[in-house]
Amino acid sequence: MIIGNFSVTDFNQLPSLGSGMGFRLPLAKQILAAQESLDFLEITADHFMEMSRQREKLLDQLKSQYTLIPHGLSLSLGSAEGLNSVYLRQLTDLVERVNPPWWSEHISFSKAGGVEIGHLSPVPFNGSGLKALCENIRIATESIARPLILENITYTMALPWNEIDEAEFLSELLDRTGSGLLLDVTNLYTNSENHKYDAVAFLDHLPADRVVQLHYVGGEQREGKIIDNHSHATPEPVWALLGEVFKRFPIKGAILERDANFPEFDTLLSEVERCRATAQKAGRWT
Amino acid sequence: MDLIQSQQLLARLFTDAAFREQLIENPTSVSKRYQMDSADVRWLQQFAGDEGKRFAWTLIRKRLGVVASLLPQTQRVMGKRFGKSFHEFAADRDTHGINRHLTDAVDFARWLMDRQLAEMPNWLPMLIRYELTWLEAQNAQGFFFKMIPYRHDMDALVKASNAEQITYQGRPNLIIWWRWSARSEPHERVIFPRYWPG
Repeated sequence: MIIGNFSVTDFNQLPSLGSGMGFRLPLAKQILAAQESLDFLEITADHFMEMSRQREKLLDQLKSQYTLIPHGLSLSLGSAEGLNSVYLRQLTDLVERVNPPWWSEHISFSKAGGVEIGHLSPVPFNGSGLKALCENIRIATESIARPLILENITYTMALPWNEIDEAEFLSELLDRTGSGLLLDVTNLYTNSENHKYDAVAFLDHLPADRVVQLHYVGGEQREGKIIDNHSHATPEPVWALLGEVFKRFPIKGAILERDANFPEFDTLLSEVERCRATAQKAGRWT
Repeated sequence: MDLIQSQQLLARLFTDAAFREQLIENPTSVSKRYQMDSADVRWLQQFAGDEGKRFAWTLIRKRLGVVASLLPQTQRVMGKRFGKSFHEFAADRDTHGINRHLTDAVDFARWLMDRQLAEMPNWLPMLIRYELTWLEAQNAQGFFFKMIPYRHDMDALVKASNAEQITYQGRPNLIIWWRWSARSEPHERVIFPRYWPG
């Protein structure tokens, strides 16, 4: 279905993938051997661009064993200067090669004025931010003919140019662009603690039919703030919030997003299994 | 201030220590250049203070973690000096591209080699060059070939640097690095003289 300039997906028709993890090179061997414990994988798109033959072989091997969801880092969909067109070409090629049921990127910008920030930075929750995102998403989705889901990020300080709250902004963005939501539950928890708002109330403002996939992982406390460094076990408050999310939304997949400080692989698999059990308790993926 | 300007301002704030200092010390010049109103100036000054420094520190820490894994022996030998040096290097430098972390490590290693590092082993520049050349081979966008004679057995030196006592290893050799194309893997080969006394 086309609305305005965007093709709108019926996200209910997307396949249920289940519980998986982000593919990480140091864990490649264990991940390739864990097909019985992992339902699908998310791959960081940047790691599978400008590939050597060996990396191509690895991608083909992963693709033969798992459904892969490409997760972009550098498209900079929130850039008022326009998105990263070189990266878009590379991302298009990767998505074509992998043929996923959806792909994902962030509601953020990561470059401006010739500077690459090296981090996902917030877009103001106002008309200008919405306009920049909508235009860049239009260009991206014309190039990549698969459903797009957009991830919420953490922010250190609320921008002074915000005119509405994040939940309202996300809803408006998803409605205008026809995109789905990759709800990062850890990011939601982190922002709610650091900026003092109710994360569960936030969920009540999201469009129920657009929350497609989840991220979760643990961060650390530093100087009274939570830092989302993806390098610790998922904390209990995030598990509780995951439970609330599964009750409310027909989630198609959830990814453990551990990036560093890896424990024994079985410990990671136990988190993946706990996520699966949490979803099944809420009547999902049964 | 429109969105383009505000994003350019934020990008500089997040990555440029000198710019943050300027915003604190001389906000008028910055506000004129970016056409900021007084509320914007107050927020940005607040951000440029402790919060901004913390955020910038987090960004640099993220880069440092990856660079340390790409220069492991240099990091091992330098200890805390490695992190301090990287913070100095990265304070007003951002990185670019898909292989930004590799580029970061290459640029940092070159920066280190240009420095006089006090209280460090005199063979440290050789070790840095050894690790740097391997990274250059990995970062090469096409054919790559380098041949460097070393006065010391780098492999033994690297292994010895893992021990409690870091000792000096002297056995000359020739190290060759090559890569046929961007799609092939890089290689390294060490050639020792057939006969060497001692």
